[in-house]
Amino acid sequence: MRHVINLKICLLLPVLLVAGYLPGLASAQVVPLELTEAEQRWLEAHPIIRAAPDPDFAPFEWFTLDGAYKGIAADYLRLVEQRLGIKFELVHTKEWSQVMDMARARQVDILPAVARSTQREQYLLFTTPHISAKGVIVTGKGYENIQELKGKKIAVVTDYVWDDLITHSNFEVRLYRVERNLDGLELAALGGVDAMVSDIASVTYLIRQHGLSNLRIVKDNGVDRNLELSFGIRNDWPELQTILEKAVASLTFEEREAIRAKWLTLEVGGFWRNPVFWYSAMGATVVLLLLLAGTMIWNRTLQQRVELRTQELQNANIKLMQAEKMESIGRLAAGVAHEVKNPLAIIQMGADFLSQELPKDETTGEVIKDIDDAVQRADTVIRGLLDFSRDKKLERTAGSINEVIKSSLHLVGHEVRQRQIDVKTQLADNLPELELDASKLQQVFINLFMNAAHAMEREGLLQVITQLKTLNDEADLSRDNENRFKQGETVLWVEVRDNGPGIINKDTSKIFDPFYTTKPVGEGTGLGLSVSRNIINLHQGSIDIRNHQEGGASVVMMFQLNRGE
Amino acid sequence: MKKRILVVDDEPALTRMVKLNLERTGNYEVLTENQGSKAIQAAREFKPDLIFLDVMMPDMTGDEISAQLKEDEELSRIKFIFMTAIVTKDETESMGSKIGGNEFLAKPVKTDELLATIERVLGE
Repeated sequence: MRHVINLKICLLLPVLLVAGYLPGLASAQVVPLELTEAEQRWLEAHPIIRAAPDPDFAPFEWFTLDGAYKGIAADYLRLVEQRLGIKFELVHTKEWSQVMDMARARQVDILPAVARSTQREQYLLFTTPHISAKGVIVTGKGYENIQELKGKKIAVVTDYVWDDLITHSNFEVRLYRVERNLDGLELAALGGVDAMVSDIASVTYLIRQHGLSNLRIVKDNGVDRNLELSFGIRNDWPELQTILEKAVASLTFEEREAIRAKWLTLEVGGFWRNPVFWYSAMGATVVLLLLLAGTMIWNRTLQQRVELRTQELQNANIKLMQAEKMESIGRLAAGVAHEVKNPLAIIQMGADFLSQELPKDETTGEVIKDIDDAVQRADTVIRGLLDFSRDKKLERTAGSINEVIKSSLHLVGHEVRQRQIDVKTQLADNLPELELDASKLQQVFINLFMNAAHAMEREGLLQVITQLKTLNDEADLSRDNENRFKQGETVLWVEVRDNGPGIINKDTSKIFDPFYTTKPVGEGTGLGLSVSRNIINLHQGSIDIRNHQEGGASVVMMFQLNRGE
Repeated sequence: MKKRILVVDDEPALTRMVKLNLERTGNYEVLTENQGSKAIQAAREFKPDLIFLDVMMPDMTGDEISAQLKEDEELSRIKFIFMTAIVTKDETESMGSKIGGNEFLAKPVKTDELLATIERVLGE
């Protein structure tokens, strides 16, 4: 409820502030301006009347940076000009003391807003005050009433009416004199003084202008003096004093109200202390934060979607490029095969014929054998090229990978025995059947077994292991170099391991590239692993080759288990 | 009695090699033809027991020739061995379905393998 009370006080204050001062105003709203002939003659005789405002006394009067005269007193001066049908000549000064000096020296004729004092009466005449502002105590420390301020440090502007008031009262405080209202308010806001005494108009205006949001007015402040400002007139021009007195008196309630509203309405209620303001501000902040968070989340989602889409497009693009590459390789391969295989067939059958016709000596036999071998080599290259370039379409039927491995081992049996290679198989018997193309997979295994056999030369050990494996270990997952399988997924795991020298070239990334080979010229086409990977990929499987930590090369293939589809 | 074999391939040197190697055995009488479009006429006149047929020829493909021969009641008993320079499983099987169980060889083929295949096909 305290907030509500504060609000009411704040609403009332400005009403009292300016309008409330002049007694009986409401009942005598319009006082007609009646100048005597002498007064009119006086005005005609004095076409130039110099007015000197305080250049820095907001909101009462001040000059803006571009020299415009603003404020409550400025508006009053303009109304008076209208009433009298004259124009005052504004005198620009740098500071108030300069104004006072010029007034004393009669270099200026009137002051639009000046407080009366005994000292100033020596050279100025005053009209009845037309501007009044209630005295207030402002604190940044939450004091509720004047009693709490006993013995505290209170700021006032030197020689202002408040200085005089406190100095001559029995109010026991420590005075701290400052040069300007703003200085005192800033000190109060920062805690340098406990409070400041000034007028409510200046206080509210400066607080608003400078954002001194932690200051508040002490409710029960006990200051019963107002700041009252009059026109000051050089004291050798008493005619002007009466003329201005009449002019001010002629101002209507509405005119005064308009000025009040213009300069002081914004201070009504002190919006920074209005709970509605704070609730609105907090509400708005929460809404903004939510919007911001929402925007960030949305942005992130968008970003992820863009990345995902980009990745998909890139993958699609790569596949397309590969498809195009394969297509052109396919055409080339078919052309080469047709043009090369016919001559090879002629050479082969020609050699066969000659081997029967020629005398059966050793040299002839060797020549025929060399021709045979050359034809086989050339044929192997062409066949590899054809295999590689084919748009592989699998003929998949449910089958056992163990059976494929056994038949492949049987087919390479001669080569293995010749090289005295020991073969050890460890084929799990709990493997489910896979949808597989047995002849294509046979091609892969034969290729791998032959590679191993060639690598090991003699007395090697070829191991083939099949098992069901759940991919939990990082080491196992890393063998899925194409990221086809998820952590925790169970796969059919096939490992072919030899005890040869391993992959000598460390660049295993190239090992699946077509035409990449480490074998001597004539012993490999460089197409075997490339074709093998294509075939494994067509089975939605992965293949990885690396050196085993115990030596030799290890090939791991993983296949997806049928998911009851 | 010698078995008659018609060898059809657009490559004259190859048909000559096949003829030489087959006739060397003394078991076969061989006629060669280098134009696919003339193969049917040659088959009607020569009445071979087996046709050794290249799949890819400029004027007529091997399977077109075999399809036409199968429409002729008198010639439909002739066995075929196909030979091609471009080997794939797909080609083999599409041929196989049209030819019905006869053999398919990939060039280059060794004479021993060729003779073994011929004996097997003729023995069926």
